[in-house]
Amino acid sequence: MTRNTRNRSMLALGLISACMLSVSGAAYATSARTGTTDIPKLQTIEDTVYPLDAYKPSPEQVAELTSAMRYSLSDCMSRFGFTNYPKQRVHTVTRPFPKDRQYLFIEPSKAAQYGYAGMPASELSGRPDAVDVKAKPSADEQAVYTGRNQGLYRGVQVPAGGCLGQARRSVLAGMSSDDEWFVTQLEGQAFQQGEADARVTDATARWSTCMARAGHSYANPEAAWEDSRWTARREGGPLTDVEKAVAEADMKCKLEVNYLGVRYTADKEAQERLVAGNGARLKKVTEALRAQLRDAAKVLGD
Amino acid sequence: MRTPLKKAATAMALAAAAFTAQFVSAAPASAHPGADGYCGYREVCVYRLANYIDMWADFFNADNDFSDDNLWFWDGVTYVRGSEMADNRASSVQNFDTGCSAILWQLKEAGGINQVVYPSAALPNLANQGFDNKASSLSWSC
Repeated sequence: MTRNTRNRSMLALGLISACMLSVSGAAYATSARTGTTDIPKLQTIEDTVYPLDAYKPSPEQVAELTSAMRYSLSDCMSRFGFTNYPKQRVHTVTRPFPKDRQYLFIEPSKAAQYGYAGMPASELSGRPDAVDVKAKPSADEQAVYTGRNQGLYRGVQVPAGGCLGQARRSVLAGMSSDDEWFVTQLEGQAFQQGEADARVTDATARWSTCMARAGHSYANPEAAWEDSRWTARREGGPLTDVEKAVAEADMKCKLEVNYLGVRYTADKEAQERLVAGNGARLKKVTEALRAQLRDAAKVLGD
Repeated sequence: MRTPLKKAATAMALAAAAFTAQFVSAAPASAHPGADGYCGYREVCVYRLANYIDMWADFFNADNDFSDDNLWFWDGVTYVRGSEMADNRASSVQNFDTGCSAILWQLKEAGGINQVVYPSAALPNLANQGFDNKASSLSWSC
């Protein structure tokens, strides 16, 4: 199941159970039985699917909602004389970042080359159009945009939260903030439950033993990732051979103990439990998303 | 990292290019020098308390380490850079960009659990996401 087809299944609740039970076969090399659950041997989680993914907006849906907010923002800003907000659709929204990083994993060859950055600094910085912030709009324009410190502008009342606030409401009206973020709330709970899973604790201990064998003493992967010895490099200093060696050993040890497979399985099972226990609320969230997409289509004139 | 090199520093940067080229990470200091305390156009702001109040930090570009990013406050006249840092202090967040998602990460340099803040979105209470006082770095997805 591809990421796109998976995301489209959000509105087809009948497929949700299937999504929960099926995972990309391409991500699996072998399977080893541990405890009562088959734990896949994973070298990446990029193509894996989690139960709660089915309740999140797809990249295409995020693009639709974003486009609608842009249209609404354009109308509002124009009313105040700020016309440099064209009605441009957002056609693509890329993945946030390599998913593997949530389990502090970088391909070993990249770790050996870039240390814990895992990639060139230019790619890690993310924003392609990073510009001089001195080119910001005027204070008046920003006040209309955000609504901060602004009641009237040239005699016209600025909407609460500025034009951006109004744009949000044009699409998100009818959905409480609690509902809007309920899925991510459950994801956070599942992540915490996963971290506490005995299988994860065991994998972490085995990872620590593996690292000690390589000459590096860490209690857990977080301690290695945030070792203060890497701070200077993160502030623009040189990448050291020590960091490269530790990072490479770290990733190889994660593969040795199947850290990704264990973490993924623990999180997936935690999400399955949370989905089962929150069916009614998740259905409400799904219906609210449908309504948002209908509102977005109206704004966009579809 | 926050801004391109300023013109005044360009010559020095070029002179140092041969030296820095040996480093795979030649990023400038991760503190966000473009921050001015004003949460505005195309920025993401993290706030020390829920519901976007108390102190805050504004970011335009990505930032791989919040531990050197000051929180700001309004003293009634102007925005003032406080002494407290943003690392592990964010309780709410607003994304003022209409085209890019901001991603807050639990650990430095985009590691650990993350919170995606969609374009134009706002989360009034990160505690609801189990992410209160956890954000340590920021990346963007456009």
